[in-house]
Amino acid sequence: MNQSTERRRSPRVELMGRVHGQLISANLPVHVREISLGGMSIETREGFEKGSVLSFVLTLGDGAGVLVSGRIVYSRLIDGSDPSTYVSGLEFVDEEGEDGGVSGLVEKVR
Amino acid sequence: MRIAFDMDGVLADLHTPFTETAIRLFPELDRSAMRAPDVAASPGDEAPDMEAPSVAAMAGVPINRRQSDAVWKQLAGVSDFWEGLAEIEAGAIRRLAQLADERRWDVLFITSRPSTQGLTVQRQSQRWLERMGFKLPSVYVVHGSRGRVAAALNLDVVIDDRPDNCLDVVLESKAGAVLIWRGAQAAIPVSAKRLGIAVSSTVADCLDLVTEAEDAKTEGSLLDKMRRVFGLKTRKPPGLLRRTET
Repeated sequence: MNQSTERRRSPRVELMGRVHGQLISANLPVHVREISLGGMSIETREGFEKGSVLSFVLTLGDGAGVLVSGRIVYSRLIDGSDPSTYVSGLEFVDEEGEDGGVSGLVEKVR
Repeated sequence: MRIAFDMDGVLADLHTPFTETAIRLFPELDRSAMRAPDVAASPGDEAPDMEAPSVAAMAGVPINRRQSDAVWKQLAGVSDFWEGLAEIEAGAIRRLAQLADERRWDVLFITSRPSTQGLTVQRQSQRWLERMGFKLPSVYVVHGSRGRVAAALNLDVVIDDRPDNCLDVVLESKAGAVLIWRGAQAAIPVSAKRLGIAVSSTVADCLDLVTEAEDAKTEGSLLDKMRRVFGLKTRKPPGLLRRTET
């Protein structure tokens, strides 16, 4: 796949601040800044170790949740943020097969 | 049901005239790459405003911006260019019109096509759809977030060939999104289904599955039924339950 094709398939979607999620392992809320089919950037109150793989539940527009896993590519403190806020970038990883797989795991939030 | 269809890459074949023009203007281009089915299937928001051709680009096309500018400039000079396209799946639009009448669907056609010589994009698109068998089509020419458009128009389902548009729809609206993916099935972005986007290889298959979901006797909303029919698995993530309890 050439670079331009890849760019077309994973262009970033800038969000209006309405997409939130949760880091499952720590019950930590996350705010999604940008997202594409390849990954996303998030804001959290804690930073993450580069290379670590984490699972999140993201809330879709209709209130359903999707479970995604991603590998941390970078994580840095936002200068001057108060309270301290980190911005992290991660690429989605395919963990299909684990507990039925993560592909399209959807459940309505009641 | 309120259902919206993107036009180019879903219903109309922009791929052929775009790539033929590109190859004619730039014979040195890689013809095999240009013939890939996802090349120039749909003009994204990167497609040029013909009044500002320096902004020109075309998402996914293996040509550079200067070449893309030239192709768009050429196409923009063709009077009523959008009326001359072929239907990708012969008869799909006529079948859609029949389904809409039978099932009382409100159908909208959404496009970010740039303008050309001749009639407005909206009028060209309406005339084209009528010629293909859909009478009195409602065409909405719009740029920007498809998700916000879906929310504003209170849509139930959006059919689009651009993964980013589909992602925008499922994140920013209550509508479901169906990605029409005409390329190799192995090349479908693996995270599409993971993020709640249904995938179909043709409009015909998509219409079959949407009607199947609409007819399903199972409980839940239309979107719940669509997710089941399109194979999007469900479960209760434990973290999600914890959050909703607090």
